[in-house]
Amino acid sequence: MIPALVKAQCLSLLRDRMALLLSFALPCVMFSVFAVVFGGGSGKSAPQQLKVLIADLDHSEVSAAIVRSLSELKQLKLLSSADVESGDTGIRTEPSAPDTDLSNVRIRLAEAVQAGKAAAAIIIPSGLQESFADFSASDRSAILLIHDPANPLAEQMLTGLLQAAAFTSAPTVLLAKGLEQFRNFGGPFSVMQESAAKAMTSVLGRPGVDAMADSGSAADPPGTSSGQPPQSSLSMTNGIVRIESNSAREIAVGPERAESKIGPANMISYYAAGIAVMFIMFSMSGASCSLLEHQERGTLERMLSGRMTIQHLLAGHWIFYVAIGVAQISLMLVYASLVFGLNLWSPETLSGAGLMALTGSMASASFIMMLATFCRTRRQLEGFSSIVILIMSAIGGSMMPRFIMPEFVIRISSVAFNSWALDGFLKVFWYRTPGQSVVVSILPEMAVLLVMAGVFLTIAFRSSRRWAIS
Amino acid sequence: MTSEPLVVENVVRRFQERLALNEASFSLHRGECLALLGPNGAGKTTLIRVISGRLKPDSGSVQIQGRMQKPGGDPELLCSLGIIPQNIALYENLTARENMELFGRVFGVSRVGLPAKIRESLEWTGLDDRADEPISGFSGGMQRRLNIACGILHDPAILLLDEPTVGVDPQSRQRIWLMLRQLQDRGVSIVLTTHQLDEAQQICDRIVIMDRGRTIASGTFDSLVDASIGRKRKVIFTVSDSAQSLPAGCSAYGSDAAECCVDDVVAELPLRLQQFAALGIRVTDLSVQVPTLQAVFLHYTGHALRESSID
Repeated sequence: MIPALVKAQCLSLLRDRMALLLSFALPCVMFSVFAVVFGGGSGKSAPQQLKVLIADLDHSEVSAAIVRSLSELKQLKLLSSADVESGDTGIRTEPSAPDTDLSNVRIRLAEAVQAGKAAAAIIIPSGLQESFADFSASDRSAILLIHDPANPLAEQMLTGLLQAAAFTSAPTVLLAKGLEQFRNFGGPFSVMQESAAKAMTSVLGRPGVDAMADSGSAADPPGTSSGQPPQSSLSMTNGIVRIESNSAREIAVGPERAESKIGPANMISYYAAGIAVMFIMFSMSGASCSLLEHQERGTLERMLSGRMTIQHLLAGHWIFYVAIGVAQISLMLVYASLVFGLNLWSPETLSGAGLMALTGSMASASFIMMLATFCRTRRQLEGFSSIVILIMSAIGGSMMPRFIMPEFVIRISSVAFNSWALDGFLKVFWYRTPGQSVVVSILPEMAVLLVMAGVFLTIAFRSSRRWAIS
Repeated sequence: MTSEPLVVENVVRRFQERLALNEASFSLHRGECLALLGPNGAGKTTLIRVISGRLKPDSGSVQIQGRMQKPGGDPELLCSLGIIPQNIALYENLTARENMELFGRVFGVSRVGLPAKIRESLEWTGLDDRADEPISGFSGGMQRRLNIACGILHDPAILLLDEPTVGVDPQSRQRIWLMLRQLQDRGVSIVLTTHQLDEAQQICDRIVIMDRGRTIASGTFDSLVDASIGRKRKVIFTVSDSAQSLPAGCSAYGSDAAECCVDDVVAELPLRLQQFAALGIRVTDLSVQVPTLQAVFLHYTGHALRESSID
């Protein structure tokens, strides 16, 4: 009896092509998509480069060597602030000459990171070379690392890469500083020791750096010129260079505004966008089944027998789906605000979120309606839309931030409407372009979403003609 | 221009290689109830969809109230046509009244006149006491009645019903028949498809029989009987003992009965009884079988099973 039942189930599955496809092809498709999105594909594709803004205020041999060393790294794409300002970034561009004031540069670069133009920024302050590799100095200059709290990986990676760059880019300086420390703690070198040190320096060094190492004066840390041991303890726990890491959000909007009810880096703000966009697609998918339910129940045929045209019918459903989408996103955001501290209640954020909810819902409703008109049964739509939504959510950044995805996936995602919706929501809740209102900053995303909604609706109308008349 | 409310002429419709309608033709007289009969796959539902404008014919024409029906439906004809689909095409989470409000608006009933029409229709269907309940809790018969009511809110002159009583109990069927007769009394011309031959025989004035996409016979029941199996009546005589021999023209009908056909029951039956008596056979009972629509139907369409999925 049981084998007969198993046989019947197998035959049913084999004869249902769609079910067969969903059962066996779907796992391979889904694995491939997620492998490409999150794993960089077959491993042959180049990993995405991290865009890093860099400003060298020291203009020294050491700082130049660090910048050169960083620029040679494949993981990084270094941009000067001029590179960012040359694009339509909305970043202040008042200084025509390079700005050398640390606080100004710090704010400008933080604004650029906060606007999403780069993953992080590095500022090499003036005076770095003087205190470079002086582990005994308590007040040695620190390289400023300005990071986006949404991308903690970038902060960790850059901290390590900066130390590596500092270690490898100026070996003679390091040697000179090491010998200096040796002299301070161990006393003067013998003739042979001095000769060996010079030989080593000449092997490692370049002319300019050698000269600096020979003189020792440039590298003399405060309090050590008298030959007395330094007051502070000798420590390398801070690395070759001291790195001071700050959140771009705190610098750009101030710590009070950056801090939420829950914490200074309220990541809910960042992920609210992704969750909202993915949720709305699943929600629409469920709602659009009603269109095919009408067809299966005969109500669609009945409606079309009356004064209603297929255009009326689709328009009626579309308006309903959009209204439901806006209501659901609004509810979700209010809930996130009340329970998780999402910063929602400023007029700018409210208006931006409202517009994004509306345009996102319009595009989503049109897209799902288009899928519904492609399908003949509810089962087909459920299966088809689940696959499409999962793939679009993966490449569109709803599941994982797009900055960890390969470059080509990011390029592909620009054709997915949800990635535009996500970008719009991120501009509302996370990235802010200084001097520009939220509504203005999301205009490109809204325009793209509206165009996409129009295209999807047109296709849906054309595809639904089979319902109008056979 | 014809005075008939509905004229279907030589309608052809193919679905890929399958010929669903093959020059189907019939006309509907004003105020009559016409049954469209046929085995499964004969093309009845296809023909209804062509008449309603929901299906484009490959050739042929449909005239409604003297106007040619257009593919997609002529908006001018919407007021004339009421279509009751085979499915219960209603919103099951809405109440009876809400369903009527929706379909009334879809079929162009004015907002002002709609409440009165709904009240009237609720009474007509006997659903006035359940008007504000979701119809998901209704019986099949109640849903069928509401299904019909939602199609006549705009007072159509012609009503197309696709199997209006399928799956309902005898009481609901009687009620639906009564509703259809009342509509007919109001001057509505009705076309209904059905597999229930007794329904067609009892409530319809004329019958059109379809098979393999063609209209192969049409007329009143009597005219169809005359044209097919004729006026002969079968008489079955139950006898007390198994007879060795039977009167001429009679044949054995089981072990204790005999059958024969007569042209005139009143004139011939006494003679037959005398013949049995003359042979010493005692007749204990007899029955005269009248021609049925089933016999007529099978005469025209044959006994072979139909496997087509298109109706």
